[in-house]
Amino acid sequence: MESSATQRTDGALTAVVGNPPASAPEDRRETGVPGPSEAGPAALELRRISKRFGQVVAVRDVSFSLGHGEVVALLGDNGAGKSTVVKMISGVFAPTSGEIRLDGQAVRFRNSKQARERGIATVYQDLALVPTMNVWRNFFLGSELRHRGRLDVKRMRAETAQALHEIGLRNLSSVDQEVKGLSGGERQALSIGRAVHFQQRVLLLDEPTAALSVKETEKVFDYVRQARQSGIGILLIMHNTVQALSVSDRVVVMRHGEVAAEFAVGGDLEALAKQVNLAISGAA
Amino acid sequence: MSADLANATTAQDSASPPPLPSVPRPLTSYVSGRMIAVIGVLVAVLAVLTGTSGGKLLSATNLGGALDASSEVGFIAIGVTMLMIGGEFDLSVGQVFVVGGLAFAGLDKHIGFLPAIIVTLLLAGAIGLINGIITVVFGIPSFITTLGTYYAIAGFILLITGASPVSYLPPLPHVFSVFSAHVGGLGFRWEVVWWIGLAAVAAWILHRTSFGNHVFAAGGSPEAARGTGVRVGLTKIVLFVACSALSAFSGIVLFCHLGSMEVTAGSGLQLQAIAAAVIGGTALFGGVGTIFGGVLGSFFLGVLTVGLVLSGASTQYYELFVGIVLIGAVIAQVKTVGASRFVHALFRRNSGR
Ligand SMILES: Nc1ncnc2c1ncn2[C@@H]1O[C@H](COP(=O)(O)OP(=O)(O)O)[C@@H](O)[C@H]1O
Ligand SMILES: [Mg+2]
Repeated sequence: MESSATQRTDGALTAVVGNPPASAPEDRRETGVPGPSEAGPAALELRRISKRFGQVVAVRDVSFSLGHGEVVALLGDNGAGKSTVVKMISGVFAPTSGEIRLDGQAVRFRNSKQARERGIATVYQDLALVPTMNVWRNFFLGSELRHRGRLDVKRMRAETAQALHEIGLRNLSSVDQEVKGLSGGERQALSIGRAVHFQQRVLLLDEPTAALSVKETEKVFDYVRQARQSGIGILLIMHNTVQALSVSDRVVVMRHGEVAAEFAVGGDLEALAKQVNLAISGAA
Repeated sequence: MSADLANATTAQDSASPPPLPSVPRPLTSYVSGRMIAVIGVLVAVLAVLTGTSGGKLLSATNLGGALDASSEVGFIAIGVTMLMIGGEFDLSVGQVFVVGGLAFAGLDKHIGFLPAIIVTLLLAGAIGLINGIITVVFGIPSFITTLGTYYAIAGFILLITGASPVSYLPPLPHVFSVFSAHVGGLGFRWEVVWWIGLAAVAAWILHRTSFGNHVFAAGGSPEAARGTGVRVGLTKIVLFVACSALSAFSGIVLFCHLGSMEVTAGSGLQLQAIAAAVIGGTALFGGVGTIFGGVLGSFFLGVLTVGLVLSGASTQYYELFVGIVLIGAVIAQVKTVGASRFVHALFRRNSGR
C-alpha cells in the first residue's frame, strides 16, 4: 500500500522529467483534477446508459466521463457490468437507453467499425494482435502506409520504431520480430503505442495487466502515463484496486450494473484503497 | 483529430532526440531456417534420384521435364498457398483445373484463344466466388464447402462430357505455343516462365501490398484483423476467386501443352497442391507461409515424378510420398500448435464481414 503511493509519485515525476517542454495536456494535469469541468467537452461522456439482455439488466443508468489526457479506472467485481459498458462504448452493441457523447457530440454506433472510425480503440486481452506477424506489420495493420500502390515498408518500420520509443519501449531488438515472441508488456506497448500514433480519442484497455508480473505491470503503467501525454483519454478495466490507484486520475466503481461510487485519486492512497474496496464489496 | 492533440504530438516529436534506433533487418526475415532445411532435403532427394536414374535426371531435357511437371501443380499451389496463409483450404481445385481445360477447349474454337482464356478464367472465378461466399457468409468450414463443390463439379463434368476426354487433333493451333514451346535450348517450356512469373506477382502482392498484409492477418488471427478494420471475409473471398482462376489457368496451360484433357485429370491435384505448400513451409492452420516455398514444394514434386519414372520405379510411390508428407505435416503441426487448435483451425467457422 505504502509502496504504491510512492510508485505513483515516482511515476508522475518521471513523466514530467522525461518530457521537459510542457505541452497542453501536461499543464492540465498539473493544475489538478482533470475532467469535463475543464475547458472543452470530455473526450467521452456516458449519460445514463443502460443495457438489458432480456429480463436481465446488465447495466443501469451508468454515467461518467473521461477527459482528454485523463486515465480512469473502471473497477468492480465479476458480473458488475464493466465489460458490458466497454462493449457499448466500442460499438459491439448499442445501449438499450441513454447516450454516449464524444467531445460533446452524441453518437450512436451500429457496430464496432463505426466506433473505431470515430477514434475509439479497444484492446482486448490476447485478441488485439496477430501473433504470427511481425511488429511493424501489426502496428500498421489495417492502416498500412503506401507509396505508389505498394507498402512503404521503410517508413512503416521507422515510424513503428519511433512510436514504440516514444511510448517508452526502448529495448525491443527489432521491429521485424514476430509478436509471438514478445512479452505481455511489450504487446501492450504495441497496442497502446498504436492508439497514440493513430491519434485515437479514447483507448479502452480490458484488464491490461491481468497476466503480467509486477515489474511488467509497472512498465505497462509507464506506457499508459506516456500515452496520456498525447491527450488520449484512457479507460482501464481493472480488478486490482491498488494497481488501479497507482496509475489513474479517477476511479469509477461499478456494482450490480450501476455506478456505486466515483473517486478522484490523490492524498492518502492507502486510505483511498480501503474506501474503494468497500464500495466494490457494497459495504460502503 | 483536434488541433491541440496534433500540436501536442508535434511538440513531443521535436523535443525527443532524433529517435531512430537502428532497425537492422535480420536475415531470418528473408530466408527461414525451415526453408534452408527444405532446400537441403530437395538437394538430397535430387541426388538420390540422380543415382537411381543413372545420372539421367541431371540432363537438361529431364530437368526441364521436371520443371514442366512442376508447373502443373505449381500454378495451383500459388493459389492454394495464399489461401492457406489466409486460413482456408480449397479442395475443389482439382476439378476446377479440369473445368479450365475443358471450357477453354470448347470455347477456343468458337471465340478465339484470348477470349476463351478470359471467359474460362471468369467462369473459374465464379466457382471461387461461390466457394468463398458459402464459406464466409454461411460460416461453413472451407474444408467442407470445397469438398462439396469438388463432387458437385465432378458430377457436372461427367454429365456434360459423358466421361470422354476432349482432344484437338494435331497439329495444335500455333498460338498454343505461348505456353508449350520450349524456351531456347533450355529443356523446359514457356509454361514454366508463366508459372514463375505469376508466382513472382503473387509473392509481391502478398508481401508488398496492404491486401497481402490482410491475408496474413486473416489467417493469423481473424479477431485481431477485424479489430483493426481488416475486412477478413472479403479478403478470403478474393483468395478463393484467385485460387480458382489459377487452377483453371493450369488446366488451360495443360490443354495447350497436350491438346487434350481427361475428365479425371484433376483427381488428387488438390492434395498435391496442399503438399507443395506444406513442403515449402506453409502452415496448415493459417498465418504463415511463402509463395517461394510453394514454388519450391511444387518443384520438389516435379523432380520426384520425373525421377521416379527415370529410375523405372512405379509412379505409385509418388502418391505414397504425397500421402506421407501430408500426414507428417499434420503430425508436426499438431505437435507445435496442439491438436485442439489444429482441429479448431480446420473447422474454423467464419462469421460474416
Ligand atoms: N450477452 C449477454 N447476455 C445476457 N447476459 C449478459 C450478457 N453479457 C453480460 N451479461 C450479464 O450482465 C452482467 C454484467 O456482466 P459483465 O459486463 O460481463 O460484467 P463484468 O465485466 O464486470 O464482470 C452479468 O450478470 C452477466 O451475466
Ligand atoms: Mg468482464
